[in-house]
Amino acid sequence: MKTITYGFPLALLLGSMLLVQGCNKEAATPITAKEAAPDFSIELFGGGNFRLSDHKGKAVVINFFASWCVSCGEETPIIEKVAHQYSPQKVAFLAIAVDDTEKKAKAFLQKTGLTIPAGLDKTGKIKDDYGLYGMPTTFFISKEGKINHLHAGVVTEDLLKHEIGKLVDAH
Amino acid sequence: MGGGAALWGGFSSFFSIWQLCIMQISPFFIAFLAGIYLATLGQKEEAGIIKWILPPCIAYAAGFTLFYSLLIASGLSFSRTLTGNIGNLRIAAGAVILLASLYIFLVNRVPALGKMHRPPLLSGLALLIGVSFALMYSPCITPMLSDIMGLASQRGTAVEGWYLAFLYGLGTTIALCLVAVALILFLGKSKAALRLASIKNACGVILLCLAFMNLAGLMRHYKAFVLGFVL
Repeated sequence: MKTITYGFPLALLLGSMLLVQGCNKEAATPITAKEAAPDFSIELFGGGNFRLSDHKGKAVVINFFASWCVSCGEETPIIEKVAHQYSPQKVAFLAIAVDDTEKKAKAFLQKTGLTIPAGLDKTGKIKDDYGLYGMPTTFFISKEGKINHLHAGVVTEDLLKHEIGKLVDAH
Repeated sequence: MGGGAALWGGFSSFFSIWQLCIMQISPFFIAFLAGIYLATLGQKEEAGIIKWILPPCIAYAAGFTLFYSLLIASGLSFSRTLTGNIGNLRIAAGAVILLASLYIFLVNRVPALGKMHRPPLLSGLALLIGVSFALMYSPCITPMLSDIMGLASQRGTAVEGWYLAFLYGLGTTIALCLVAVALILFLGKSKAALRLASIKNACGVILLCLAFMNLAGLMRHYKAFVLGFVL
């Protein structure tokens, strides 16, 4: 009985390690970066809609956040500052609240002073389409609508400028 | 970053401000473990912690850390299959949690379930609960987890990132299991022991609420109001 009790979970652990090693050999398939960014349309808190495909020809920075996320408030002043350094004709910024309610998300934006266009992913579809696991996460989308880079965790000013620079300078 | 640092990072995050995010799962795991153990106290004479609690903790750790780390390791093709089907998987997770809550309610009432109530069955259930919790979890990304996810999202370093994410998740899970066991020991020795059946049923209700929120897509309300309130 002891063998069954302890053996099963331990076997699963060992099996998972072999599985992951196996997956590594197949990992020549493309990963998230450089893939086409899934199109979506989101209702903005300030009115109107943001449709990603309408912004082709511009660099797009999408920041996923939640009002209850411990570290999300840390990066909002940085995003706000950097967003004002680029012309809206060249770079579009968008904040998307996930796993959240409209009231809480709006209160979070007001408290942290983030004024870039923002909306709520009401159904969780955008989150799932982007394969999001954890917050905050920021996606950098090229003028051609491809995911150039994604950063999981709090962004720094240098990182934001570096990644946006790559998008803006690309021809 | 070494494996030991990742393990310690996960363990220490449990006892820090990051616990607020882990509260998406920690009260529910404690309710699950307490529920199955209190059901054991109600019908078994030999209800030692090592025999009845340790195997489900190991199984939970295996299920949770495996799927948690795979979901983080977006550079792995298998991880992408998981994230591509996450919506359906979350519904399945809700169904598993529903079954676990019903089990806790009925195990002392249905003789057939009582006979099946053995450590291997509880370990199997704990394994599925671990997988389910990993699927419904949205971790807050700590600075260390941010570094790990950076590795795990790149094709060339995905396995290294997965390994570190596994150890990070394992560290968090070990801390959670230790706290759950301590609470159960306290519960067993306190005056609350007189109301064990009521506490067991309360654990079932807590899991039932989680299953309902998960199946009805209402988890965001729990996260926004409960976690937001604490924050």
